[in-house]
Amino acid sequence: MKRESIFRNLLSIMKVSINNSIKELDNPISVLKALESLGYKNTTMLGVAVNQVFIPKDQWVNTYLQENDQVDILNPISGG
Amino acid sequence: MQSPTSTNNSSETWNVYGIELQSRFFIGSALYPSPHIMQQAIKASKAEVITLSLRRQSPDQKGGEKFWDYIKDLGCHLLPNTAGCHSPQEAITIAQMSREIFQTDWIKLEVIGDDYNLQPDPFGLLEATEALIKDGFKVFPYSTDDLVLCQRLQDLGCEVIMPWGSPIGTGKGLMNPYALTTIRERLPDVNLLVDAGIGKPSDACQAMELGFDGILLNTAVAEAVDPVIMANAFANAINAGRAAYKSGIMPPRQTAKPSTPTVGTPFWHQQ
Repeated sequence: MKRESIFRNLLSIMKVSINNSIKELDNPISVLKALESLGYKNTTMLGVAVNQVFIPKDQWVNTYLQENDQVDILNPISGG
Repeated sequence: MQSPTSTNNSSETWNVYGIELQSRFFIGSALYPSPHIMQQAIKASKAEVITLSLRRQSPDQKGGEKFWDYIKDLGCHLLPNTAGCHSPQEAITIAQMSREIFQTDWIKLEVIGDDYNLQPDPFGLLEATEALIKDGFKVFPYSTDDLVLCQRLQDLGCEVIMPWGSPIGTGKGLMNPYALTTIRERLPDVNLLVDAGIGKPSDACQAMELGFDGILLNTAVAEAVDPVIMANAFANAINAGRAAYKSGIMPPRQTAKPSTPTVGTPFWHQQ
């Protein structure tokens, strides 16, 4: 049973680019779960795009990341 | 949104996408020596519109939240920008993220065409403008001073157009007053602001004297020795330029014309 779970674990990891740095995340994982596992606690002022496509907050829970996805997690900053 | 208490003596207001504004000064929130000075300068400017942006941030960096705390208490209209975007798709995605985060459909649309002079990409700008207006955004396009481009932006539905005075952050003022004057004359019904390149209050006053409706700037205040005093100086210059334009500036003439009456000039005798 132990070997099987290891094997399953190996299969369930994927590489995703988060703000241009490669991270290993569970697979499958939703945007919402990914934010939590990456340590983003206060998501009120956060915006997410996957492969340059905006993902509204109400779709974080049912949008699943894929291997090699490029995720941008943005929040407010000063600007001219 | 509740406007900050404005002690602007000019009671004249102007309408920007359905919002009545008193101040004709849109101010940026970047480059200040500290967040506190940024707040003080924005208050001194009496601006009712602040520009800001979105950037990548890792979970351990708390800058975003701190910055937001400084901004949200100012009670100004937010004008998020798409600075740094080089394609229509990038700008559209940032605009959509900004709309959700800042709860506004205003967007300062920037599609950069050149990394040295940061000039707008006219073709990408039009494409992004069309898509964003269709998606319900109120677009404030950072544009060049090309009349045809500005006309197309108005045709697409922009009620505000923001031609540059000179490249962002150069402080070179108005490089081409003739082009700006032409835009003002040919597009009388659109709100025009000069955005980019304003260096000193007299530049802003000049633009307002040309008939522009407002000024958008950041660097000239944030990088002044005393940003708070400079912000107030710009506010006064913008008001002065507006009053001058409304009062009707005398046309320049080639030959001198005495101001003192000549009738009754003493010591003069018929020869």
